[in-house]
Amino acid sequence: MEEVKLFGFWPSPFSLRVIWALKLKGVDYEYIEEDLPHNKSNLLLQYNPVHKKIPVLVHGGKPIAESLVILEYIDEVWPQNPLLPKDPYERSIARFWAKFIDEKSRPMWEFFQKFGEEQEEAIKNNFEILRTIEENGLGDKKFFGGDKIGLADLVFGMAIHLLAPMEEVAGVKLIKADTFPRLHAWKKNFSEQPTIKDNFPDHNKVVEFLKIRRETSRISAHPNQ
Amino acid sequence: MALEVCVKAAVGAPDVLGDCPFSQRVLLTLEEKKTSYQMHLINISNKPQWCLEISPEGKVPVVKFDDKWVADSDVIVGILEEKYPQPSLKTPPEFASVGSKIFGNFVTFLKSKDANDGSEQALLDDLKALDEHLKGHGPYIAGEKITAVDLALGPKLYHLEIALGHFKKWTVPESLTYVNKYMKLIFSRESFAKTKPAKEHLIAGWAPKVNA
Repeated sequence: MEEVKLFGFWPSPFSLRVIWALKLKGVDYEYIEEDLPHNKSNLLLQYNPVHKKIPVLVHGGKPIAESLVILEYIDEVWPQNPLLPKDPYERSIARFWAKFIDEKSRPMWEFFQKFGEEQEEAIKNNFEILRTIEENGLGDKKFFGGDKIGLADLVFGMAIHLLAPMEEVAGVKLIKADTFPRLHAWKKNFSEQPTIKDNFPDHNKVVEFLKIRRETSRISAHPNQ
Repeated sequence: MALEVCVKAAVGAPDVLGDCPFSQRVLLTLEEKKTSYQMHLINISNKPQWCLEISPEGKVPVVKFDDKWVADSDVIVGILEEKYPQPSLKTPPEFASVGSKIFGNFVTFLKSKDANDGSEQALLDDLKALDEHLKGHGPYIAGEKITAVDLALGPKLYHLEIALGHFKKWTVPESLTYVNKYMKLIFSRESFAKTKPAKEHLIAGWAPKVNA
């Protein structure tokens, strides 16, 4: 089997979803931790000259960038424990939601970087996005992928990885059992999956990392906030 | 423009730098990064009004970044690393928790009145683990260079040496050669000598807690 390398950054959910995919499929790989943002390795810049970002998967010396693209590549090359269903229409639904959640991820983190009125706006926005994800995306299913976790589940994993600690640091509760019961249940089910449970950054470390980010945002925010 | 830093003053000597290891950690970081700073010494038992206004719980250390005061040494050090990336003091994530339980175990042992409560052993176990780590990875926790984790642990080890030496006549066993070397290495650094508390203030700081 050809060598597999992953360039990642431990707090990044884009990086973590690739780790989950590789672990789910039992693929051996070498992990390279990048020192972001000031100290990107020359190899990373060589392998991803267009975006200069992590994650980058390198398989047999060939680099693949952009986490959603990487996830589909992994699913094609290593078909065991598939992330996408076989039926083309169902695949399109899974891809739709993976893309939706991926595109809404950074907007969903805005509440964490904002203060005062701007934060209130961002929180309202989050409730709308979460409502859409819960009612239209997850529906009555256990996971976005049905009975087993799939592509969109790996992407929504950021809800546990980053969103939950962000809620803790900012003192804001977004996904509650009474407001988003199905997403709340999803969080529990997803985090109990063995591969996910065993491959999760330390909660306290994430909180520490985020505290610094939040203070950095506060320092550069408007003086009245 | 120099950064303003509020740190603990010595107990009973408000014009002298105190013994707070978290304050020292921040000062060490500033020294190692050669960032100019202006220090305000805060008398913990009689905090000035202006200090309570900037840090409602009266916590130290606090540092002023761009007109905003930030508390919590973890956060302060993180922001310093971002604003002043050279020289880099970043500790690789896999080494960031090395020695993290030592301070807690030291305090438990220091306060313990029962020689058989296992607190000494708990501390020794942690120091042994640190010794093993330094043997394989030293001289500093992350290797050749001093990094953030050393600056956080160093002041605490200083407290351990002075306080346990004074109150319990206890020293780090000689058999832990790497820990002993490490402590000498950190304590002899210029930045450490500049920011460390005087022994008598360190002891005075712990006395009420040991004799409670």
